[in-house]
Amino acid sequence: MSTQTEVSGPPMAGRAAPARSAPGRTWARSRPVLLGTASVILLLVIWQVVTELNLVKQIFLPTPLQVFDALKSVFSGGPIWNDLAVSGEEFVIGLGISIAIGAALGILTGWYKPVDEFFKPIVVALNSMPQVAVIPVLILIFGIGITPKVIVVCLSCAPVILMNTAAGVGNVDERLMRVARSFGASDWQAIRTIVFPEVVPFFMTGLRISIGRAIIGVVVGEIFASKAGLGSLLITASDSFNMPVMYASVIIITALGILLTQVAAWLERRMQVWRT
Amino acid sequence: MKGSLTNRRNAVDVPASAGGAKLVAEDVAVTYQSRGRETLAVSGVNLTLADGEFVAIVGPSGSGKSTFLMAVDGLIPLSAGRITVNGRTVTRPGADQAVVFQDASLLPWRTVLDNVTYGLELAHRPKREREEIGRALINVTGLGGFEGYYPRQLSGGMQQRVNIARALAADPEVLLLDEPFSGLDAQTRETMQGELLKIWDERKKTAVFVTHQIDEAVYLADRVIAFSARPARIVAEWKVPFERPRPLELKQSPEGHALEREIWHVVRAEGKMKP
Repeated sequence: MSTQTEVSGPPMAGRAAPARSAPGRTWARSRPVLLGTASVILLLVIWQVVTELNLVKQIFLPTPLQVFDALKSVFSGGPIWNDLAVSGEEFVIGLGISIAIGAALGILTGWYKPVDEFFKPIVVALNSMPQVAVIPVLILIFGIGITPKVIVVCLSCAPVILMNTAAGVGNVDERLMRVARSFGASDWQAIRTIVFPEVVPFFMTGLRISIGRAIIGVVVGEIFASKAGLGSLLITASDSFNMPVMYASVIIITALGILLTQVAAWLERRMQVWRT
Repeated sequence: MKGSLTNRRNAVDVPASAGGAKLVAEDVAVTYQSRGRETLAVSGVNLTLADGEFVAIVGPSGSGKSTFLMAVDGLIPLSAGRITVNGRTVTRPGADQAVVFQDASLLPWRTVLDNVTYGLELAHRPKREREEIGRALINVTGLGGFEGYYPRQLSGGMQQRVNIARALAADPEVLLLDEPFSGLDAQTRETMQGELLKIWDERKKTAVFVTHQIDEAVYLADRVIAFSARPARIVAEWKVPFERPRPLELKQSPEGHALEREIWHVVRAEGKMKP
């Protein structure tokens, strides 16, 4: 093979030689955790400094400690559990319906071209629009209960799950279908043994993406108008200029989002053990 | 293909025409549709295999050898003629025939054992039985110890072994192989030829083996059949006189080479007569 002239750049800092010694391996394993923690700590430090030096008024940005105290008080009070329950309910029902519709239609659109052609404009439109924009209208129609939020979650998540599931169906290897047929598999057997396993990883990807969208739908819906919920907690605190509690609620929502997405990502990885 | 998976026509029992014959193809013609045009791939093939006979089919590229094989399996419908296995007409794929395709086509999310038992699973055999048969075949095909591996962890040769084991697990009446070793490098290919004979020697399955490699055909088969260019019909047939078991050295023998040359000339001449 002829040697090619490579464009020289900065030495590849990340590419350490494979560590052979035990201390080397421990460092390689713990480095991501250490670096990640370092950035968070740095952020907190900057935050504390910025507020102490009054670079941003404390009315608008409380100190980290104030926010931490607010978190403690929120969790020692009663209402937070009801808020979590309400938001949780909207999230679960909305996502549940999205999964049912998205998976079913996803398989149909992936399998039958006419179905795909029929639904395409709707799916593309729903996916491209800012779904939260319809919240005011939904609240006018359905009131300030859980219904508008559930609908927004469906509008945000069903298209994503649909498209990913359909992509999974389209990805089914013809040769594997041929194997199933050559063993005399019935239609249902072929779908069960070949299509479903192929589709699952794609579906899981759609689900993971949907979680973030679902949270946005729930929280923004509650911010617009709601009796209870995490978004309601947020906007109530904001309206009464209780900034520490407002930031605390943002942190709670973010933490939940991270947790749920990580769980979904872990599930997604578990389902793909067999892939290269 | 989407939306309809099998031709659901029922096999009809017909009394065996030729006594002792395992596989009979009578005046078989196969047409396939491609890009809106109908092409006659196989026309008027007559072939009879005795029980336990190993027949190789050679012929110029695109001659319809694979198409014929798929028709024998019941994957493609016939446009004329009839194919029977044990006297039963073949109209759709089933337990009587098993195909080993060139591409191993293993289910990547299943372990080796679950891949080998796939056909048995489709046939609703109980789990204990499936595993027993599966493990036995895994050992026969030299895959012992790899039961829990995934296909992506296996080499090409090993994947083909799983493919073969899977086909044999269903204990078919006829084993059909469509250039199973074409995707392998020359060394692995030769090893696999020896392995196949070893496995075959134990079970003596009636087999039809399609290949481009004439030396492979001569080494493996009892009979070598040459197809013409498309539309395919049988132009010549040779009986391979070598005793079994056959050592690999046979491939380097003058007798082997002489037979190969003869076949080569016929196939080459057919290859020049492209439609």
